[in-house]
Amino acid sequence: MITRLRQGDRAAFATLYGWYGDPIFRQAILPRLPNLELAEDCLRDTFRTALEKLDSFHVEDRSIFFWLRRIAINKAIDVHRRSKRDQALSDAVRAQPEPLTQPLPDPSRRLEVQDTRDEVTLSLSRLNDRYAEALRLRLIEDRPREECAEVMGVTLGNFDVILHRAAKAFRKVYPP
Amino acid sequence: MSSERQADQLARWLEGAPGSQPEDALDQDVLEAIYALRPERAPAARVTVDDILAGVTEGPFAAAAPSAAASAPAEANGEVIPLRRWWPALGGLAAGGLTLGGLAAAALVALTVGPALLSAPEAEQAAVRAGSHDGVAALEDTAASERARRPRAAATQPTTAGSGPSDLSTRGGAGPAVASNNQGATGQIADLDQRLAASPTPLAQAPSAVTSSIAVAEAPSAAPAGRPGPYRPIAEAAEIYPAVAEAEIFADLEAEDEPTDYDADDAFGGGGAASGGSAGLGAAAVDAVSSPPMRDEPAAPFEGAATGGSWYQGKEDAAPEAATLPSSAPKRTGRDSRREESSGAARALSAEEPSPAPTAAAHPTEDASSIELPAVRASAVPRDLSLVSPTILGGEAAIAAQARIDRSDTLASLGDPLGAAGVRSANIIQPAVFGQSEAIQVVRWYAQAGALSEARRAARDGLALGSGNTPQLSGLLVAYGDALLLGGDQATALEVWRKAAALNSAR
Repeated sequence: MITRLRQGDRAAFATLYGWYGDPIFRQAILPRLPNLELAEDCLRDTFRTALEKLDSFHVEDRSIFFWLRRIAINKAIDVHRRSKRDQALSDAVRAQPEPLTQPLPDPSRRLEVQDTRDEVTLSLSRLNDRYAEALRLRLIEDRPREECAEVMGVTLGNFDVILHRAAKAFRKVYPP
Repeated sequence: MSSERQADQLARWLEGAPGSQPEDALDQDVLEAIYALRPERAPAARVTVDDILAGVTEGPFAAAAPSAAASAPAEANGEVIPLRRWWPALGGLAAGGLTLGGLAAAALVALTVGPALLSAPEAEQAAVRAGSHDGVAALEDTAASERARRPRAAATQPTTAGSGPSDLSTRGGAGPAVASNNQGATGQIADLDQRLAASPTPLAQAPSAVTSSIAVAEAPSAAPAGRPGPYRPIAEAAEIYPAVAEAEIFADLEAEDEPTDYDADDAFGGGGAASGGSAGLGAAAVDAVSSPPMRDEPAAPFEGAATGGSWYQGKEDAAPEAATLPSSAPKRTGRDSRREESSGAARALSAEEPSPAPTAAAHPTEDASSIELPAVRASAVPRDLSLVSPTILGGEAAIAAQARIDRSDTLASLGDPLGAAGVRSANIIQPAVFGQSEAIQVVRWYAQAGALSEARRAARDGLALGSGNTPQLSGLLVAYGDALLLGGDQATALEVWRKAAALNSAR
């Protein structure tokens, strides 16, 4: 496969994309970049970069999936970083001037290398407890909604409303 | 649609098969939360092999023409959407392809700048070109070492000019500002200029009448001892960018129909995403793609997320070992009480102030105006502000600028705003729209570190770059006013914010 790709074989690339396109999209990109359009752009960029840098891939070292996944994660992080920077710029201007009496954040906190699992946990911790519980039960533990409602001690309809609100609130704090 | 109805739709969708299309009425936020936690619920990516191949600019697939045979999506149920639809909502920050916005921006720049270049004296054009190149050359020296230090960061850069996601979109955003560069924005600042022009400050010390009154109270423009010169001194800036003569910085706003230096500078410095930064960024991406961490990963089969359950429950494979997301500058709170405390607290924090900052008491007549501060400032904040990508610089300069952005973000995330500002201040360069965007952050960081004098100097450096009526200029004036206010100069802060508000109105 790699040899054919290096020879510019389009059919080989179509095969590769058929194998890994969707897993990369769902497994590596969407959890980090849940907006579909951005995620699709990221997917497109990932494979484009991979094709351009095929020579840097060493087949004996690893599966090409992990190589692709690494590229995808980097791309997703980059999109986040840019959007965060943009937001920070806007925030900086929109924020009122202040006396700067707040202590600087703990540097060690900023050094954390967070994977998406940590980020989900962090985001959930910032939600209302019931919202976090609803998301955990239904979407993370994948329990049936009837069971979720029972655990939470609410009616099915109420649980649906809580879950809906929880999802909406979650997106506002995710990624943290 | 009522919340209950949406909740019901969400429940039904989650009961359905993975990948099924959600109801149109469901909130985007809700959908994205579900996609983040349960990506198997998302529809298939609408990206085809041809979409990907069309963007390849190097390697064995670079010359490949799209074929009909390979145009099927990864999964067959998606339509092909070649152009982004989302970027305007995020201020144009994302990965993507060539956009109409980018083309429009390029066209606007060409239309606006062309006449300016043609009408400018030839010697001046040459001087501008030489100046711009000098400025870029100074950065290019650092580019190689910057790249060596940042293989990971560079990995995420777009490798082609045309496909640079944020690049084109931010340029698209900047386009209208360029087009409206000379519109209005004239008389609004004349009054302030006249008032401040009375200052005896020599022009060599101040880029404009706005800043001159502040320069009186500050030390000469020298870099603080013990730190590498974090900003470009005003005199040096004027040398490098001779077309931006200090006396003309705001004067040109008064000539509504005349092209400004801003446009010409943008043309020289920019080149733009369509002509610039591809090669260098592509080279940087090579480093990143072949970076060591991948070698640590097991060559094992992947676990697909679509097999049920949540990736969050262990379905996700190995954690991204370098998934560091540098946080933005620390966000502060306590806005309600801070204005009352600002002068004293700022002085207490500004141990590095080389000279006492003017206090509010120096402007007794302005005390009463403190009540209008919030309103004036609110009107000064540009609603259309967006980040300007360093790719506007093109080539090696773009790489060097991006490296400084990455390093300063990291320093800020480590709680070193002073260091961050020092690094980032080297990005206060032409074109003005970029330099002023960068200057905003530098001013904020300096102010955050309590180095108010440097904050104001950085603001003036940014203001010296150009006077085109852009959101970035307004934003910089807002930040400048903040720094002034923190130093106790409420009156001038008000005036600066009023100027920004006037620019906003005229834009």
